[in-house]
Amino acid sequence: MSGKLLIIDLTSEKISQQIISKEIYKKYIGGKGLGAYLLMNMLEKGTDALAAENPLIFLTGPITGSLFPTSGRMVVVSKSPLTGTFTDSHVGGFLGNEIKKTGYDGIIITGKCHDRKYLWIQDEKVEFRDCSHLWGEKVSITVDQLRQETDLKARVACIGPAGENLSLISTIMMDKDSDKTRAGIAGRTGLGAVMGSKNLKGIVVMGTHKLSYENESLMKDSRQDTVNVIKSTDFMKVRNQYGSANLIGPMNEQGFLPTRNFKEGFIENGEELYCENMNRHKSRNVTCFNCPIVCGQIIKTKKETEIKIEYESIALLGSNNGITGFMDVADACLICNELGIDTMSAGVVIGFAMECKEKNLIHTGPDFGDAKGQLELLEDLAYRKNLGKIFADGVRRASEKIGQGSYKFAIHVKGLEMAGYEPRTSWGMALAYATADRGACHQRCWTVNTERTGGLKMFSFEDKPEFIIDIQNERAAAFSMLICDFLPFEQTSMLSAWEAVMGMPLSEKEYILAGERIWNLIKLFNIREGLSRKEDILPPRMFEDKLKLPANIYDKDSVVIPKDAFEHALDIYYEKRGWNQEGIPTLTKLKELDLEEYKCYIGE
Amino acid sequence: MKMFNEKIVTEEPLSLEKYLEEMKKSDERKHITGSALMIKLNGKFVQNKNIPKTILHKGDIISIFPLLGGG
Ligand code: SF4
Repeated sequence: MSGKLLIIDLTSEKISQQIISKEIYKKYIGGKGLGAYLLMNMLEKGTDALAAENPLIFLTGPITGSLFPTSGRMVVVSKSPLTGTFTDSHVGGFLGNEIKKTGYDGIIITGKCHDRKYLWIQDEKVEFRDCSHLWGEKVSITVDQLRQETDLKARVACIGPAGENLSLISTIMMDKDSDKTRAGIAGRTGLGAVMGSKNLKGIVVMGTHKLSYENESLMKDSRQDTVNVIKSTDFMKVRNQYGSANLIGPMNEQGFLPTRNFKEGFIENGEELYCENMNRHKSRNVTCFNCPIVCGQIIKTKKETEIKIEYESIALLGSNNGITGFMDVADACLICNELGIDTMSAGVVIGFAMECKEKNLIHTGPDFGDAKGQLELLEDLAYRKNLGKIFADGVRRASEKIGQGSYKFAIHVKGLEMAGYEPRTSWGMALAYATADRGACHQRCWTVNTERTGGLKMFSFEDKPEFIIDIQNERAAAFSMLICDFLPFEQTSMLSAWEAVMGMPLSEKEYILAGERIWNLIKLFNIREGLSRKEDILPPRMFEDKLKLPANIYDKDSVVIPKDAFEHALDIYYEKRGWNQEGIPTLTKLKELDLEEYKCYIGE
Repeated sequence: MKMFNEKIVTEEPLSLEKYLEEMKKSDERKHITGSALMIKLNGKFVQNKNIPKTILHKGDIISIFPLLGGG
């Protein structure tokens, strides 16, 4: 770790550095945690997420670029224009490693370019280059052209037309799917719009520095230990063969798969979406920097272009919209990645539009099952044309425009469209979605497997508040260390890798406590921005509309979440977190976590 | 994938923390590696912060769930 962050002010075109002390790293680890610390201190309360003052922060983790498996990851942090909350969007691929090679641990971008620009960063050197010729271009053309103009081996982060048009469900794309190496996406919460609002089309990075270790042999040992864990985890073979798509079949057959805008939990004749069928169209596997798991599944589309496919995209652009043709989903993913739209939010927003049409609240657009209509609507979202004028900013805003009670089936939490797991089947996910820091995200705590294998009781909130707190804290720490969600590892080996890089130990207790500290700091940020208990809630559909369950699996035919049971579970969650019944951390909790300096945000 | 590992405790008294440490060193570890673990003791969930103060007794049933990230 260099402890140095590169600060680029787009308005003045001035470059500076910020040094991060080892104490801050120990307190917030890096990645997500460091991002929370920076955003909390840099951003004035109530700043519009699309204002020049909202920083766009690209951060690596302490072990990014190291020998430790899955060390290629990075995170983009900002205030989300979609949710108004703190957001951290995690990215695989190779850009994280490239940023580390510049000699910086991260890049903070502030201000706004006067004209359309891209940045060319080579180690310490930063150039502001005109990008007007690429404005309006799709992602793969942009990536190719930016490399032509800089270096063919450079790594690129860029936005597509959706980000330029400030769609609040737009992404930042890292490299492109047809590259030999794996691309990455800062997909969720509308970060493409933050970059677009800065008139910034791309960031091209190339570094030459080699990562140095404080203790190289300790790093080698921790790497070997973790490689052994990967090898001895049988499931990693499945991960390699199918990626996250292995879950489509089981989720469908057990009633967890969002179907027709979360009206149902399984889709009949959905087998074409299953991973076994996906593999018939697979052209190759791709991996992120330094990852032996190699989970990326590249599909060749009908037009011979390549696209990487994940569970979430299949669920939300497939079954959720009544679409069962695998190649139809692949085509939709391709459009999303080329235009720079989040496949997950786009899937949910299109499902919502389909239901609005079914209910006669709108009179144009696709019906459930209309794959061609889905592709057209995706284009409209990116260019804010036709129905895109209503739907380009996600379901919350669309339901506000449409009115007529449509909020009841606008499937989001805090404005973020729900991930691909039905919360009426997984009550753990119900509470996890409601309490997640950036809205209905499955990555803060994923309870599905624990519930369906009997570790937690189905259709009950028993033990779930405590379980979710543990996992949220652990994930906050892991996302700060910046290791992959899919990595099986032992904390002690990973903490040895930290020590090998940082030259100071971090105990398991300190690591988990840092996770809890980070979670609480982000809660304070969200409270400061005006969020409260009333946002820790699910869409009305989950409490009001019965979900039909697949036959002969459960001891009931249908299920709905009882609102009072949910509220009671939320009470327990707050209490166990050391928060009051409004979901505000107490002064005692802040003192325990060494966060007293932020007590003004809890009215102290 | 083996998701579930159930054991009957044969020694006593033994701290849960020590039990987990020993387990991680043994052949059993391949069943308990995940990015996190969920522990149940006699069917009751043990929250992370309570692990250090939990004591196992002979005949207790301990269940361990490795938790891998989602889709
Ligand atoms: S497991 Fe997959 S997503 Fe994670 S680092 Fe490896 S290749 Fe990337």
